[in-house]
Amino acid sequence: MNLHLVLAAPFVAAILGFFLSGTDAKSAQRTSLVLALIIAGISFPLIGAGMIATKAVTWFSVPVVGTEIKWLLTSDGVSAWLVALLAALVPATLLAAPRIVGDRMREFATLVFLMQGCMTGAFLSGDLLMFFGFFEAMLIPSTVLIALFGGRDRRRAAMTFLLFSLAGSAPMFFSIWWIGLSCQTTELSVVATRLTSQLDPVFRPWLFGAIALAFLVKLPVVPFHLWQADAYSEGPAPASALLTGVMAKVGLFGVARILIPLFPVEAARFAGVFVAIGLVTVLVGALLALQQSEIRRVLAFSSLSHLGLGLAALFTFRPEAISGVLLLMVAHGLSAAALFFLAGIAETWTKSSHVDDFGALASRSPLFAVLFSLAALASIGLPGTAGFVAELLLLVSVFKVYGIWVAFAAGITLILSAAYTLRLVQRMLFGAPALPSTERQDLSVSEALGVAPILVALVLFGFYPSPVLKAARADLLTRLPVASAVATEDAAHVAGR
Amino acid sequence: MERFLWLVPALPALGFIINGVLSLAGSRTANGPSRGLSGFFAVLFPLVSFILVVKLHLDLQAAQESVRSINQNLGLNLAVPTSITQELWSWIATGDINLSFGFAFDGLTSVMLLFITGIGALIHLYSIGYMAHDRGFARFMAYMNLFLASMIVLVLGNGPVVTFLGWEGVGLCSYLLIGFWHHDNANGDAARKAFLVNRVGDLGFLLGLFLLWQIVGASTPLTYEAISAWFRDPANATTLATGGVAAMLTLATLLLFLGCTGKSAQIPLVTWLPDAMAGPTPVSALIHAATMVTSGVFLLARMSDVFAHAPITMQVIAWVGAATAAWAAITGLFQNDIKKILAYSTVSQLGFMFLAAGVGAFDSGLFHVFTHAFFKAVLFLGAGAVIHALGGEQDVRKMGGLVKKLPLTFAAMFAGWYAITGLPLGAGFWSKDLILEKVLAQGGPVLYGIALATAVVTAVYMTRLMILTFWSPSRVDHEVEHHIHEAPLSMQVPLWILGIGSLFAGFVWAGMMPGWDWFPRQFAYVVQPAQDLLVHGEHHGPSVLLLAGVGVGAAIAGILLAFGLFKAGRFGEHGTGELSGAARAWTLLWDHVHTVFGIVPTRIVSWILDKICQPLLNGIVRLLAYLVELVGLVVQWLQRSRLRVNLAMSVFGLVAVLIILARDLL
Repeated sequence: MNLHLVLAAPFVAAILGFFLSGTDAKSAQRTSLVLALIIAGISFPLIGAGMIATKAVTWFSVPVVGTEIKWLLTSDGVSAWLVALLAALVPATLLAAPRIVGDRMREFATLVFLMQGCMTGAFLSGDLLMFFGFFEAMLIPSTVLIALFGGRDRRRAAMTFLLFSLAGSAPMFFSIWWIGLSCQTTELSVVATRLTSQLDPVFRPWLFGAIALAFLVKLPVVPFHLWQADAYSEGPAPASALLTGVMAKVGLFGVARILIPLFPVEAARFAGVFVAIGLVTVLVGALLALQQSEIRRVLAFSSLSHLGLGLAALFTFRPEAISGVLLLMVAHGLSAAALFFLAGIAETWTKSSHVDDFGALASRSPLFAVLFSLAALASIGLPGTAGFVAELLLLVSVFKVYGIWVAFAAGITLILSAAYTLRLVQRMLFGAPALPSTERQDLSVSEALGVAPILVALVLFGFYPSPVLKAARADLLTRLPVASAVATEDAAHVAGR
Repeated sequence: MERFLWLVPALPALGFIINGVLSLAGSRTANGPSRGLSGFFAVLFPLVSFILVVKLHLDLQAAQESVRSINQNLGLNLAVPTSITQELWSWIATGDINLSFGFAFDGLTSVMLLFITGIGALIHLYSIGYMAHDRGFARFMAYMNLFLASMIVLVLGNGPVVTFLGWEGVGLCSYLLIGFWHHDNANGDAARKAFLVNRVGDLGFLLGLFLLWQIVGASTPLTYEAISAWFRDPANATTLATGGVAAMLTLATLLLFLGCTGKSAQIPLVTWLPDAMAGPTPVSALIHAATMVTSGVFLLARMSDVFAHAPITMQVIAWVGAATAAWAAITGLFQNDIKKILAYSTVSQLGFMFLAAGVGAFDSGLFHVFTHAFFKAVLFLGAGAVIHALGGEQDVRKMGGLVKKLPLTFAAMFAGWYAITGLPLGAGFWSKDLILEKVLAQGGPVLYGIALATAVVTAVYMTRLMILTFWSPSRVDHEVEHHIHEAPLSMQVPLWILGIGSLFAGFVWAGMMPGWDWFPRQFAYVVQPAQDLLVHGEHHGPSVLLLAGVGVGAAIAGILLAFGLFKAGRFGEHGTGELSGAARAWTLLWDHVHTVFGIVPTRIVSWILDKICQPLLNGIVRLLAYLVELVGLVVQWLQRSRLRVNLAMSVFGLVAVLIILARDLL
């Protein structure tokens, strides 16, 4: 499996995007869809490939200090599934977009491919600086997407998004620079072995915190979440789907793949803080979702809440949590993306995003209603969907390490998520129509074809999650036990005292 | 046969898919998909499931019988097979967790499934007639099939997590069916309430399961068989006796019981069931009377070995059951909506079942589940036939005199009434009597008193329902009166079968007649060890016949009381107004509790977060941004041709560097 090909494909598609028709949106959509499917075809085999890496090539070395920066692509279960998730969502994004982007399909598709390329790069990077490059680069297409295709308040939303992200990742760059100086390399696997010995323990917590900040903003968690609702609700819905479906996962991925393995001691030491942040995010997100009256703001806070649980669970260092988090990323990526796709389409019918302007879509748009309610049920983690298995595993791991009361606090989200999601379903699908119109509007065949496979996958993973669970078991565990061992050591130490 | 176990839930699930596709495909047409086709599939699959269950039941018995005869003939001591199991695939396997997706069919499952699929198939048949003119016919059938599939998974699951799949599945179907007529927002609200209240219970279920799992240890697989074996193993008795574990077990069982109160509408999670009557009547019969609401009692029996080790929890269960039974029976007196009366009656009867389980008579509780399924189903379906005949009227104050107009429906409902009041030889007579007997022997006189008083009240409100609907002079609008007609055959047949069942189903366990104990024998090996653990030695109380006499006396007293109160021209309240005053406060008691302790605090906190914390945070961020801008301005100002300032600062910096260097060098 050629990792370079997987990474290059979206960028090639983006370049080809310039040659798409700028006037015929239909043709642009068709061609970009073919490209997206080819990329998916290239990316999916990664899942079966196991742990692979390219040959590390020296990209450049920093003058004077001699730190070598490597060009190195690695893939294992976790990154393979996330790349595949992304590759699966891009075609759906293109199918869901026409009503929203109108004539500018070419520009939209090009930007989406660029975003896909950068995110793929972030998932596959085997070098810290490389990762940082892609991590920052993906801001450009996503900000442009929001600013170009967004709603009324798109400029401000795009600026807020950009500024928050930049402010969050600036300290990470400093941290990487420091690591590069101390370890003479930024290659992840080498850094992981050298970091503990090469870095002064006094500085390590600061470097750890600086990197953590970037991921917490990207995820986001309370209190760094202010950009999220604006970006998701003002940006074009299909792009919001990618932002929450995949980009938010880069945050969790970073925590699991970079933060904890590089700083096992600090991760164990500050685990309680992160669990607390995660749980606060879970509850605050859910409670805020209850208060929202715009569809995509409800969905935004719902995402906030769901991913918060992932963060909390990761810092229990339990094996269940690690597979659970990967499954959460896949399940939430699919269900949230489906909801955003559908919400975006529905908003074009009413020209409004306010829940009160909907109603009775169940009788007017039956196909839409079926898909939307299925996605909603998957989002609240109904057993039989992937979300249930993920939430079960995360709750179990929180329970095992922090006991029944913390698990109870986290579990309240089961009730709250049902409350705000079913409220949304009822306001949109049931009751009397808000706007008197006899016109029956429903999804087009291609839109339905974009969303339906996502829902099938959610049910499939609900009953047979093993492929995803095994993928996480196979790889991250080889590194995380270090952190886990330290955690138990610490606990024993405290108990001994 | 075990290779086909999965078909039992899979067939109704297939029916769901077929009907769902039909419904969606026909959504564009004026009339919807063909009712014949949709109805055919909807009834066929539950029926085949029922036949499969009968076959499985016979197979299991034959297998047990053959081992027993071998043991007897050859003097061996081979283990008698307890269940037919099928493991389908590894479901969740990571870390310490290793859950298989599989089914187990034992005696308890078999009696549950016999009536779930049997009565379920009948209610599907009834629905064909009841929903014939509804635009959403196929959608309705799809949901009903999905419900049945979920219910089967709940009962058939080999462990609590598979059960949980069905557990939330029936909750979902309940949500979909209560809100079936979704153009009315009130129905949607009732549906949401049902789902949310159930989710509170479901969280309890999950957390209880976590604790239970911690007690039995990660090496014990999470199947009912393994859990029961662990609790029966004398080697674990010392572990269980330690204080910490005992407390943990109490908490675990209480949490699991919270899950049961949600699904079975017991205090404190009782509020959703009366509202659930917003759904079409067959739903009320199938889900909210015969099957889903009994799953709490089923779970207690399934985990009886666990609960038997938690005496405090057992006390709580008994008292919650008694309190619910009494509260709901009294509430039933005030209601004027025929379905609401039956709804509170269901809550009350479920209380009886929990009371029985709480005093350690799991089998008697299950027996009441079984008989109740017949008589409450026929009462609901009969009520549905009445509503159908009256063109949608549900207020008993606007009924009356229907005995002549709807004789067949009356006959069926009479059978249901005969059974629920506990008149001799009816289905309810046997089960209620058994419960009263066990409560007196194992629960004490106070609980017995409550139960007996509840039995009187039950007879009162049920007789009131019959008087107001059938026996009193007609108060039906003249316009409506012309159109009164008996239900179509598809609705009649289930009524007859269930009516006959209400009269005779009790004979599967006629306690007073030796040998008439087919019912408890089926699953004795599941619950008997737990019951033996709880009850020590024979109890010498009043004779069985005397107690039965007291029970029948209670029923007759209640019936006479009702006739005295309502027959002589007094039809209770006139008019059509809603409940008011004390009756309303009593009825909505638990709704108020939910509002005060659950809904209002949540609303306040989320309001504060949204309206105060969010803007505050926003302000802080803006302030930071402003400060950064300010620093930028200062820097800008410094760089803009201020030669003297720049120079001064350069000199200052140089001096500083020199001083530092000098200090280092020296």
